[in-house]
Amino acid sequence: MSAPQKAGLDWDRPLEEVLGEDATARRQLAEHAQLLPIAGPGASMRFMLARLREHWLSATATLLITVGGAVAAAILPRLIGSAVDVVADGGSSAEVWSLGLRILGVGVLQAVLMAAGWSMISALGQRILAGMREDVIDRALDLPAQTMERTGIGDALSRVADDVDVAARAVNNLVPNLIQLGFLVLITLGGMAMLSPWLLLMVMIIVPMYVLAATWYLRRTGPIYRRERIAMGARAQGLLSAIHGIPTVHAYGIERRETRHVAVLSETAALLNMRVMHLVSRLVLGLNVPENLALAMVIGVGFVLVQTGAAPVGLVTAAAVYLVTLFWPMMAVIFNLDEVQSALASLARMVGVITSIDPAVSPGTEVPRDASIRLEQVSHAYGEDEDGNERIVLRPLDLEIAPGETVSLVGASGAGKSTLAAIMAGTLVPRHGRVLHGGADLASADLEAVRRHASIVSQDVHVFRGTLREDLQLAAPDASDELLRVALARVEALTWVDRLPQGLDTEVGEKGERLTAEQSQQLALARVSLQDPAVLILDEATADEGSSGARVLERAALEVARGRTTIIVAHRLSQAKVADRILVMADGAVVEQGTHDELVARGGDYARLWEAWAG
Amino acid sequence: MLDSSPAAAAATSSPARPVPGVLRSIVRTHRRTLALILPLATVSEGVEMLMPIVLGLLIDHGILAGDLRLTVLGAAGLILLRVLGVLLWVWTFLLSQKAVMYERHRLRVGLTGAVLDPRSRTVRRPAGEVLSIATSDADKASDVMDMIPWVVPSTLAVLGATVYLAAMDLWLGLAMGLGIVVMVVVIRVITPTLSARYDDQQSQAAEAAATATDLVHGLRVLQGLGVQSRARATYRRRSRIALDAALVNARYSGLSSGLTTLVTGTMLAAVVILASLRTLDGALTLGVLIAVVGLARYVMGMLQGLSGAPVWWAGMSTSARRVRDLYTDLGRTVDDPELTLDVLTTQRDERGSRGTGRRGAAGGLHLPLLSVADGEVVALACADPADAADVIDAVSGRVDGGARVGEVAITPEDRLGLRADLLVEPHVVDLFDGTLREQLATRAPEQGPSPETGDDGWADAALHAAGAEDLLRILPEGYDTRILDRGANLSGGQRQRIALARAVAADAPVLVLHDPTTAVDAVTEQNIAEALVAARHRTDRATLLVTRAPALLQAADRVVFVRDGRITAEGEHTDLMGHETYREVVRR
Repeated sequence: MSAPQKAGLDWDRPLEEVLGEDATARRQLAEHAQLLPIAGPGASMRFMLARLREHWLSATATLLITVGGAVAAAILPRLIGSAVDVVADGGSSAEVWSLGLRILGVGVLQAVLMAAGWSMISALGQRILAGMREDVIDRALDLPAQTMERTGIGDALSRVADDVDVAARAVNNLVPNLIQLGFLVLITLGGMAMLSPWLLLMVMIIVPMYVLAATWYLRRTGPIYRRERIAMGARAQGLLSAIHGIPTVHAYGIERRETRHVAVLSETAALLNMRVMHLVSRLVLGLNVPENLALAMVIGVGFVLVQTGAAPVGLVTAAAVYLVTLFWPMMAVIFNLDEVQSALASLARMVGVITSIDPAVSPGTEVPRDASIRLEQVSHAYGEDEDGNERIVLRPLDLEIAPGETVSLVGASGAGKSTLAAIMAGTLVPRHGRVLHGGADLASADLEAVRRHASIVSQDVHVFRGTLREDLQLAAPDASDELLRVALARVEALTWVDRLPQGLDTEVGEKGERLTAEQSQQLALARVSLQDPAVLILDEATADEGSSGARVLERAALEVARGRTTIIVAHRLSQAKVADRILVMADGAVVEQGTHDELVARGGDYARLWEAWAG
Repeated sequence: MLDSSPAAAAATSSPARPVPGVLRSIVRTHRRTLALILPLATVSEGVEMLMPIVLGLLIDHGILAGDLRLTVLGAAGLILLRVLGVLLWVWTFLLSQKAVMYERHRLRVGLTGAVLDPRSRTVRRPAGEVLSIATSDADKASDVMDMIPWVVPSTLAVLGATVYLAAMDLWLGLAMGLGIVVMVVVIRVITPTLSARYDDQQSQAAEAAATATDLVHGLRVLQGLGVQSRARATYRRRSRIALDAALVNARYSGLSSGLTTLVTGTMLAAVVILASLRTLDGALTLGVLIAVVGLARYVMGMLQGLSGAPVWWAGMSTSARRVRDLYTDLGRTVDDPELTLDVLTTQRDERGSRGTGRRGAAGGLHLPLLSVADGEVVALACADPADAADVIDAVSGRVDGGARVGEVAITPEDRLGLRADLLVEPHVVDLFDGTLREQLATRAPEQGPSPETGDDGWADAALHAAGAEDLLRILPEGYDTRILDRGANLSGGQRQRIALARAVAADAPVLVLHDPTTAVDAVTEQNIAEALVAARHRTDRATLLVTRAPALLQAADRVVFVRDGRITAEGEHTDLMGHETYREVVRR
């Protein structure tokens, strides 16, 4: 009707229209199936009870103290009622003083118990939460790389960071507050019911109304919150990827498009949130009914009781004060319902990861005896295509690699090199066949032993947060500076490390010094050198750099590989050339193998590759 | 002390213009709403406060006096009053929530626009920090519109209650007043400590979260090395430090909640004693006694709630400051007319997403070192990667390096206007969430009336030029396959080729590619070299390849070889191979 207000949004706009032509946002919101599991309400509840049982001593103490605080708070209105009775009966001022001091005493007791209760609830919550966030990371660290590729790491990231944060904020304030208020409400209702059977009747009428209203509200808001959460996740992802990709955004001139993408998702989240607020206001209106009913009943019951002489005026006063005491915490509970709900959603997402993903355990106790690798009828496939056939990425393969041998994998993109490399490294479990490292079948070997035995370095580099020393010590926690420097020297990184402002103490990673791709890759190789595995797999570890950097990395890789069984997935044939054996792959199968000279002489695929390469 | 203060004052006042505050901007934006909300919310709050008073009088004059008519009328009136109060409350609540949501949205979109706007200053902050400012700080700062409509009426109601008590009996009023003063003092004393503990907890928690995020980002590296257990230990250490800070905070917030309960409890006792004694003296009626104690109980709850406001406010202003500082670092302000919601949500990128057809020749690319004429594909091979980086900086306008497109200079100020004619594809590949078709169409000229029904010939051609046709076979849904953010579901070589195809599809009159084939194998590189040059070899197109890949150098019309910042040799690749340094540089 009228033009949109300056400082407002069109709150009734359909979400379809908000999304407009942003197909990506629409897809992101429609993506209901999150691949990491979410726990149901029952599972979450069982989980929390189990965790509480682990802390049963402090949980019980907390419960007792909290109930004590609520009882103290509930005694106050009765004492006030008694004071009114004393006055109504024309009592002495001494009686008033004694009652007043009792009120003071109970008030002090209440304060002490509330303080202790608050601290204990919050501390208990923080302890449970700390255990949970560590468990979530535990599971996340063992998530198979394939799962991460399919889900993107966004979901995992939001579990370990956002959900933990939401839950922690709740534990800080909301949980102690709500638990205390909850007990206060319960015990106040109990106190009222104890005043007179008529008031008990009233309590029995209004409590179901409250429960009904809360259920109504939670049912309706749950789905809205879930959608809002998805919109918020997509919004964060959109902003992050635009920031990371600023050079591309500017080169292509798509800053407005990316801004609009974030804006569309932000508006969606805002509209959804406002829908919840409308539900809140309807809830408040609805709750006004039992409240006013209670008010009317207290007045009515009070009138009858006082007039028939069944109760003194103090009782009516106490009931009235109870009512006044009750309304405020009830409102507080309602106001916090949305936060409760979002905290519960986060809880369910954390519990889902902890309970549904099994922690990595050793499949057996076999330990590799030497640095040999043996593949027996190994093949692999991903998912299925439209006709229900497997998408084969690796055809059945037998392979024997001697300790200390250097093998190079060569072939076009998509030939299955990386799949084979990951299978040999043990980070990918093949659909069929057996992989043996030093005679130990990976399917029944000791997990940590295999992890120490074989390492894989891929072109995905990452520099960890913290100092350079901390980054390197991930591979060797007890290594001295001397050892770290030796490792850096082996990969020709010592010169630039020494030029850094604080040498090994320089902050690197997200917050610190930005390292170039080449330096990051050198660091990755230095880590391997410190980890000192018997088997090393290099998956295009030297790719994606201008050729001068590539040459430095190539030298570093060869240096680090010395004395180990090494598998190199190579783009540059110069790397293949120096290998003991070259496997040429095409369409998921090894089509040729032999030394460089043999393969060139044979005049097959490799010879053609070499010709193209050598120019 | 005295003589140092003028100097200090001069130092602090020296920054020329005051930076506009974020909270101020929010309040100013909604001043009309506030002018409406505040009186109404005060009325609604006042009605709630009236309840214990009316109830007290009703008990006295209705129930005790046995006046049924008065009791019924009073009860009805009370309920009517409450219904009115709640209606008012709901209305003001919705208004203030709309303001909060609007502000959250406005700050978030404004910050996003400011960060991405090429005219903003570049900031060196981790992306995660920018994200947290644009989400959690923007949310918290906007809460000011939630806080004012609650704190102001509540405070007024508490003051009103005090006035009522004083009117009933001066001593009662004084007792209540004294209680409020003590409460304010207590809050003032504990708030800084509480805020400090809370901040400490938050920063330790953020540290732990950042560690978690970092480990998940580096998951492949950790799994590759097999050091999951060490990463786990690292996180556990962080998590325990965060827990310790949280436990300290838990003790302090418990203590503060106890202290406020103590103050309000004492107040209640004092009011009950005073009012009872005065009623015994006959100065107050029984009804007023009941009204007074009920009111005191009500005020107690209110004060308890209000006691949290200062900590809330402290967090809010910290967030507002962080939002403002980010704007300042970007060289923008919260009220920048370029960054309003209207502008950001309606404006299109300058080159125009729709209706722009194919562009004609732009007059070639000219650098102090070399020129690329229309119709030419030139390769630049640099012995030192720094020289290549300088050329890229100059053509992308990050510095004024004397580069021109046709007659137009590429400068940091004017580079935006040139984007229609010039595309410099960054070496580091960044892909955004979207289908393969959308990736390629990022800047492609409009294809027919409807991109959905139009044929994919243009996309096929781009994929061909980038040696990436195999992707159509590999990706399950062809052009409709969703490519995840940053190409997370692709290999490095696939990402690089999609980026190359995207650049080719843009069909820019002048195209600069920086090491476009470093992640692909030799065979594919050879195919790309031929197809790419063929695609760009048109009379109205100029192409510069900054590379040392022999296949690309071989395919180019002409190679410029730069060493120590100067041209050392120029000519066709095969001829240059006789040049010893050149051979050394492009050798693998």
